[in-house]
Amino acid sequence: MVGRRVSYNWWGGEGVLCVAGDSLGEDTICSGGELTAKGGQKEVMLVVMLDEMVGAMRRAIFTAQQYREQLFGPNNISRALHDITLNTPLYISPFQGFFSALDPSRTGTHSTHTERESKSRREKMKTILSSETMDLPDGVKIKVKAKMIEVEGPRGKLTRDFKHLNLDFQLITDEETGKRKLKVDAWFGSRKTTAAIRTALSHVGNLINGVTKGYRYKMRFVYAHFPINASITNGNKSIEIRNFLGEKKVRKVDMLDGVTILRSEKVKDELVLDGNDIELVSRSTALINQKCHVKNKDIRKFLDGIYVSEKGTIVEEE
Amino acid sequence: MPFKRFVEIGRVALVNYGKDYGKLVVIVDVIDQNRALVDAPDMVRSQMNFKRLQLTDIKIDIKRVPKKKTLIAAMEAADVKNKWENSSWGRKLIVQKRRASLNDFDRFKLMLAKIKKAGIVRQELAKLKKEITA
Repeated sequence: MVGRRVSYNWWGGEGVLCVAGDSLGEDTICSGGELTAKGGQKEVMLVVMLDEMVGAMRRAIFTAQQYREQLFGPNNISRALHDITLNTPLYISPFQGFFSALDPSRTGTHSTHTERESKSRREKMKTILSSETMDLPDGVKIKVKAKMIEVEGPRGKLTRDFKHLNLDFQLITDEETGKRKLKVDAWFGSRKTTAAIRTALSHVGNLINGVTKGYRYKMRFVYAHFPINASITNGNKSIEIRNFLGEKKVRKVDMLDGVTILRSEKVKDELVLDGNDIELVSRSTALINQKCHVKNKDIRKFLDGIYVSEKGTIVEEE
Repeated sequence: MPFKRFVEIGRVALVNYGKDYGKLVVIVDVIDQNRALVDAPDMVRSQMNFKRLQLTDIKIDIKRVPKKKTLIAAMEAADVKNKWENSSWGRKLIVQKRRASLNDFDRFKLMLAKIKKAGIVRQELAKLKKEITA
């Protein structure tokens, strides 16, 4: 019984079978049963190892009933089956996920493929063409050349280069409506390049937004005892933070290119950062936030800091 | 920048490699991501990897896998042969073939012709130079 090679049509492969109670060598214990009661008769789902199949491991799951029928002919229900653990390396090629998949708690799920198999199948698939378009509003001038996108609008000019992506950018005019659109194609793309299409369009959308409406991020000072003392220096381009948590250290943060900062007049303890490029504005706020991290204390209790309270645009829409 | 020549049924392609090197064939069906069924008036319909084909600008109007007769008729209707021979790519290929098939006497004649042409060009250039200095 042990070591017998049988073939099964279900997975079309060959394997070595083991059944409960089989001894496959020293200290063998067969693993992988899910004991199910079916009409008074005990059936055990066995996982069978198929070896030497083009380097990939496949498994056949079949009931002990079938196995028995194979051996003894149908209608012979003499074997009693109980839970078993398979442990010999002879029959288990290096395959990590096997035992966890055999846990009775986990059988019954779809985890019949090895992780390596599914991953390699997923990596092989290439979509012939995936493309997406986006509407361009009037009032912005867009230039696309060699994966460098240049957007110009009422608030200024922004450029971004997508040379790290493998996509085709083109400006087209839509047939019926006559509006201009930006079309992004990915030819023979894997899953990741197809995903990059939409993110590229989102980035261009942010450029357009920045150049028409601008970005305004607001931050609030939060302190329990020591008032945070901030002064804007260098013509709205940098900020000095004093008395954070009573510390003597003065924290200075320079804003990035094109970002201005000011203390809000009407609202107490608020900073407003303005700019056209969302990446630069959000990075500047992150720099300020990170300068005011609390060290060596329980941060659930010491909640002091400067936190982003609002992410919006400069030009308000009614 | 966007692609203009697509792999489609009816696209005329030039074979780049293999037994049928240099032939113009028509893509008659697409087998899978890498191969096409390809046909020409003077060959048996067979499969070919796309890597062996170079797409041209010419496209004819056929349905999937037409009979040989319909294929030939469609090629006549689209006038593939003339379009190819008048296109710059086609003309270059013809010239290359001619050059490769020269014999020694032809090369001698070619040399004389080049010298003569260069002489005439230099005479004209000298005339122009004299006009400028004068």
